[in-house]
Amino acid sequence: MDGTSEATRRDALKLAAAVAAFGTALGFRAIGAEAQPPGAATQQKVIKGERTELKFLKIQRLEIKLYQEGKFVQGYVVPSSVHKFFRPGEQLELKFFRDGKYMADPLK
Amino acid sequence: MLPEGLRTPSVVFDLEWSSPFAYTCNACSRCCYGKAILVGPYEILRLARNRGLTTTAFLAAHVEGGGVLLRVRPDGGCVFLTERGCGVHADRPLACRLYPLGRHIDAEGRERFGHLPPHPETAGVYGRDGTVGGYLSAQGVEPYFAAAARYADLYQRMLALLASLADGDAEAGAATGPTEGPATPWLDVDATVEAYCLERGLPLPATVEETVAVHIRAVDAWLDRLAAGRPAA
Repeated sequence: MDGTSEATRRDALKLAAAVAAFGTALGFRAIGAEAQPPGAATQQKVIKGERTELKFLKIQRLEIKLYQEGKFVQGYVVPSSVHKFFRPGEQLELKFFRDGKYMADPLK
Repeated sequence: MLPEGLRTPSVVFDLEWSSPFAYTCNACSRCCYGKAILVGPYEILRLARNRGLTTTAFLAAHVEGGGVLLRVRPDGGCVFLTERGCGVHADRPLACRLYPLGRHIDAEGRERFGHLPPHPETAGVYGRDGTVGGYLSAQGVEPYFAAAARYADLYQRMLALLASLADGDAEAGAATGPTEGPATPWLDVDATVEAYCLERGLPLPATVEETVAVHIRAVDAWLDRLAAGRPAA
């Protein structure tokens, strides 16, 4: 790649970063999986994550289900003696251990 | 570029400026939790001035997601929510002014509004004894709409120039970039404006509106250089 085309590519990357940032900030780029037609913009509050939705739920049954490649493998029902202590606004945190050691990234 | 886990609520945009609508906010603040607030250059500038900060300092302290997403507290609440409500109410972002509505502009430029799903325990009261336009005017949306339109023109120019400079690879590379700090230095309005004025021996703009105008001129000048094939700053 010669000097001119390298400079052009650098400029294009800088411009692409600006397009991505301005487009997202102004509502031109899709949030989540929803498509946004070219030239259209949406401005509104966006829902952030699923965790806070627990704030509004009264939990009657809590299950943890494991899937492998989209197929159900195993399920566990969290005893009511545990989930009855959950209160609105509290957070549920799942921690993964292997051989007694905490795994920060269970995918590794 | 954005953190994972954001999703757009399902909204039907079927309201016009004249459609019947009223909403009384009773300051329960429930809509200030679990939301992602996207902010553009004008909103960042207004919020920064509200906090007595430069946009450089504001972006570092309060914005994530490549410079376009307001940070939230660990409990999911807006970082500016206080015990007495919104701590930046006079300069709150457009999404907060629109709420409980969303705004959609289609590719032909038609503007529509839609109801966002309310919090199930909201203290807000809906009505029909006003109009969408009346409600939004009372929220002070006009300068935000005007700034969004000016930046939208700038964005369209960027997009057209990008198409002439590169294929889709460049955009894909940028979209998967790091999320710490602004994804582009051009989002930092004060730094951009200061460099532009210094280079040309111009006085720094005094008002937010003047600053936006100079910011857009500065980005335009960069795009001019790119379009002419000259080395970019």
